[in-house]
Amino acid sequence: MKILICEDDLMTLKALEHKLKSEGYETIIAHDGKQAIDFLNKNGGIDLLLTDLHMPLTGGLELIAYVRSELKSNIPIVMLTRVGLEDTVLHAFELGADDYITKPFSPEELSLRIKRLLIKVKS
Amino acid sequence: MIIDRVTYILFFLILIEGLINVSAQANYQDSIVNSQQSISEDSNFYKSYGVEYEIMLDKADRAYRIGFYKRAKRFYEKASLINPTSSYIKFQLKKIRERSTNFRNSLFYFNFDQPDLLIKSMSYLIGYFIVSMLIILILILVNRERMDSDEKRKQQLREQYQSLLVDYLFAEDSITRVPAEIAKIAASAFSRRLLIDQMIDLSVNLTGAAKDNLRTLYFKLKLDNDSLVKTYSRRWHVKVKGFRELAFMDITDANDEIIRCLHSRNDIVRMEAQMAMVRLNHDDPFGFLDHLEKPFTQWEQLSVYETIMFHNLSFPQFDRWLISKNKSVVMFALRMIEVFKQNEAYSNLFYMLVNEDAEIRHLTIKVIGNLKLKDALPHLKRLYKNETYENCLAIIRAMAKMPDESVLNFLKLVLDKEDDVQLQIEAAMAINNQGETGELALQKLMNSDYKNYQIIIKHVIDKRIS
Repeated sequence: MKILICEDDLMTLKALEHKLKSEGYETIIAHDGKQAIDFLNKNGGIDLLLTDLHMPLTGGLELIAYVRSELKSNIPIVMLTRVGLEDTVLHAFELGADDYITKPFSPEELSLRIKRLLIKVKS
Repeated sequence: MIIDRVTYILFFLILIEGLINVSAQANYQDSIVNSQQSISEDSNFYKSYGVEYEIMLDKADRAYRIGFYKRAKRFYEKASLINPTSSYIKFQLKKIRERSTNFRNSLFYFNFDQPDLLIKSMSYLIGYFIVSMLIILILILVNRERMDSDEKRKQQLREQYQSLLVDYLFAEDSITRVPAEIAKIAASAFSRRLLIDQMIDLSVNLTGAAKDNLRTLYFKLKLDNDSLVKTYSRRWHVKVKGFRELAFMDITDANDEIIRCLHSRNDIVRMEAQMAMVRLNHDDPFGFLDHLEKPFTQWEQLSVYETIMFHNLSFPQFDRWLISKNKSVVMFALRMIEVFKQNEAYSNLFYMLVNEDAEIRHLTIKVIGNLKLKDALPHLKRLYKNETYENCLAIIRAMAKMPDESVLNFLKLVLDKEDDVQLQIEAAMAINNQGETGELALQKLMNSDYKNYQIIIKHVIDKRIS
C-alpha cells in the first residue's frame, strides 16, 4: 500500500513516515502541495493521501481540490490540521477530503484511521 | 555625515595633489639643475661670509627641506643681509614665494607651517583605515564561514537526533532502555541543548503513548535538570526557554518560580509564565488571573487563548473573573465567555451592563449581541438613554443581531428622535434586520411625510451597499 505524505514540518514528517513504514506501508514524501501534485502527475498510483492543510506554496486545500477536480481521483484523503480551524476543515470536506486528525496527534490513532479508510475503500 | 564628506574631499584633494606632484617633481628636477648651474656661475659662491652666515644658511636649508617655509624664509632673508648678492638665496626665496602664492599649496599649507606632516598624517590615516577595513572584512568573512560551518554541523546533528528519537519512539521492542547513541549525545552540554530542542519540536505535534515515551526519555536522560536550571537563570531569554521546556514536558517542579514570575516586570517573562501556568497548574490552570496585578495585555490574552486551543486544554467557567478588580482580566473573561459560548455565565453577563467602566459595558453589549441573548433586550433598551455614544451604537448593533419585534418600536424611536446620522443609519439597519416586519416598517417610514427618511432608508436597503 502506497501512502503519499505531504507535510512541511520535518519532524512531523519523519514521525509519520516512521510510523507508517513500521505499519508496513510504502511511503512517499512531499514537503508541500506542489511537490505532491508533481508526484501525482508523474507517477500517480497511490492508495492514500495524508496531507497537512497549512503548507508553503501550495497548501492542503489546493492539493485536495486538485486531486478531486483535476485528477478525478477517488483515493482516500486524510488531513492533518490544528485545533480551532473548523471552517478550514469543513471547506476541505466540501472539497472531498475523507477524514481529518488534529495536531498534536497520536500516531496510533492516525494509524487506525488510515487502516479504517483503506478497509472501507477495499470493501 | 559631515565627517564622511570632509574625508572624501580631503581624499580627493590628496589624489589631485599626488597627480600634480608627479609633474611638479619633473619641474623640481629641472629647477635643481638650474640652481646648480646658477650656483656654479655665482662668483661669490666660494667666498666665506663667516660662521654665522653658514649656520644661518644651514638652518634655512634644513627648514626648507622639511617644509618649514616661513622659518626657511626668515633665515634666508637674514643670510641675504650678509650676502645680498647670493643667487642661491635669491633662488630659494623665489621658490618659497612661488609655493606660498600657488593655489594648490594654499589648500594644504595655508596657515600651516608643516605641510609634509599634514600630508604624511593623512596618508597614514588613510593607510590605517584601509588596513582596518581589510582586517574587519577578513574577520567578518572568517566569522561568517565559521557560523555557516557551525550551522551545517548543527543541521547534521539535528537530523541525526531526529532519526534517533523517531526510531526510539516508534520502536517495536520495549523502550525501557535508553539507546547508547542517545545516552552518548546527552553526555555533552552542546549536544544536549540540540537534543532538547528536537525533543520539544517532536512533542509539539505528538500526543498519546508517543508523547509519554518522549517524556520518559526526557527524564531518563536527566534533561529535566537542564530545564530547571534554565528556569532559575537570571537571563530572561534562558528563563523563558526553561518555562517552555517544562510546560511541554509537563514538569511541575519549578511551579513556584513560574508563579513568582507572573508578576515580573519583563512582559515576555510574564507572558511565558502565564502560558506555562495554564499548562502546569493542573488544579487551577487559570488561577493566576485571580492575582494578576499588571494589565493582562491583548497579546497575553491571545497567547493564553492560543495555548488553550493548540493543546486542547479544558477551560473553566470564565464568569468567575467578571468580578475581578483588574479590568483587563474582566475583558478577557468576557471574550472567553463569548468564544466558548458559556451558557452558565449569561445571567452574570447582565450585571456587567451596569458596570461603572464604559469599555466593559461596551464589550458586554457586543458579547450579548454576538451570543444573541434576547433576554438582555429590555435591559439594553433601558440603558440606551444614559449610555455613551459608542455604547449606544453598540446597543443598536446588538439589537440588529437578534431580531425581535419587541425592539421595533424602540428602533423606530431612535430613527425618529436621534439627530446623529450614524445612529439613524444603524437603527434603520437594525429595523431592516428584523425580517419582513422590519422591512414593511421601513417602507412605511419611507413613504411618511412626517420626516424625510428617504435618504437614510434608501442607503440601508440598497443591496449594493450592504
